[in-house]
Amino acid sequence: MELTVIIPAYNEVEFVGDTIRSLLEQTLPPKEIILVDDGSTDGTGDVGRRAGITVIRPPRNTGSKAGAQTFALPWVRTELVMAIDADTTLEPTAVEKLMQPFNQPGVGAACGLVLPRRIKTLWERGRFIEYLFAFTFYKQVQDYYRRPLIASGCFSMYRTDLMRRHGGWPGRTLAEDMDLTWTFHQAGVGVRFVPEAVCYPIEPYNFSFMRKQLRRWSHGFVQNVALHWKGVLTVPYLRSAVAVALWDAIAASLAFLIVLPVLVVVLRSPWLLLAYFIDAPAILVPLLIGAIPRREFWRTLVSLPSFFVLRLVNGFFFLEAVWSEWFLRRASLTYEKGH
Amino acid sequence: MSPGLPGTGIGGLFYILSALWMPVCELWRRRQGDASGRWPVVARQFGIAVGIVASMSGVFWALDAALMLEQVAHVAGGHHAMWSMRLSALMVTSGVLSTVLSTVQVMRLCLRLRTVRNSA
Repeated sequence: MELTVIIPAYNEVEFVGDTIRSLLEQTLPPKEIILVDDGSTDGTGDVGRRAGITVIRPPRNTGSKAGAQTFALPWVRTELVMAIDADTTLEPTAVEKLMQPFNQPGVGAACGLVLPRRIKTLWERGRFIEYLFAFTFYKQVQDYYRRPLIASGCFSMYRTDLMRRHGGWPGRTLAEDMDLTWTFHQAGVGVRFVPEAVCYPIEPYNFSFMRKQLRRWSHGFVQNVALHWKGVLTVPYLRSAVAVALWDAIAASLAFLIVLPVLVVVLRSPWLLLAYFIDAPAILVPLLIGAIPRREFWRTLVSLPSFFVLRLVNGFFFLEAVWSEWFLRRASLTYEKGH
Repeated sequence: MSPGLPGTGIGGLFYILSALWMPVCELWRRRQGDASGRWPVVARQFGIAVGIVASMSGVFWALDAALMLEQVAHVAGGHHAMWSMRLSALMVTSGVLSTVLSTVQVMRLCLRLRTVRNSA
């Protein structure tokens, strides 16, 4: 099977060179790499041309990652197509590993394990813990039941004919990857998670970028629930996973941001603040199982406190998304580029 | 807790139960002739789930030892039996999870009935 890689890029001159290099150094290199220079003004396209890959440029900025990827789809001539963010690098065997599930005819999409490339700031550390926990535990359980909740947009592979049949990457929500994954599940298309295929994106390193990303993800999830709820109800396990995630996100946000602070004040019991951290030992179990083989034990321990900060911030943005999308009926579809 | 989404409680319990169910599911799949060598994954996830249960038991044991729960229960107004508090926390979480999952099933059945009625 042959593969084409699409890299959507808008002003990514700082990182896209690393992405292209890591693709060219794969044990199973793609047949073609297409860089979609989505109206960049910083010379992003020149980096691609110097590396000898195909560079295409839409007449004007497409407005979203989904738009840029779909713009490139007519150029794809191979059986498989992969989308990768312009700030993401891969383990040398990642493409080869991610291709393996496509030997089974029912599989239409596959995604890999994601870990931040840089882990220095509070935000990057918090995200590192979130990823390590989710990809070591939740996602592997979801994959066992053949229902990964999301094939991450930063690094996923698809059958090209399937993508064409679905009209490319949908731009109707802010989380095109979740939209596509749930659409595939409803259509009976197999989606697989391959933990051995590892990618390293640049994660938001400051609050400004994190705010944009969390806003996009929260609104995207809420939009996808509203868009797909009837269809998701027909898919075993996915319906339970989505319902639980939705309830948990709302309940946890309310508990952390409103109920607990009020209780602490009303009952005058600082002991209740322990509730913010009481699940730390439970979280540590999958974290250490994921971290020790990667020799990241200390990094994980040091990063854990950042996770609790990020969890509170997640809660704020999730409640804002629910309020805005479902109560005020203000759909947010403006794609704010973060990382 | 998925990346970008806050969570605790029933999400954790859902995945713990899913992981604990994996060996049963795997045995069932093997009986159906689906032998694709998933036992390492099953064992690993089952182990993680057991580890989480054990660690949370350890947390409650430590809290008991420090008499924190008693103090919290006292301030909360009445319940001084630590076991009942622990049990009620577990029951509330399990109850909420059961309610959420049952609601999903009811919604699915309602939607199915409506589809059948509309097509008739």
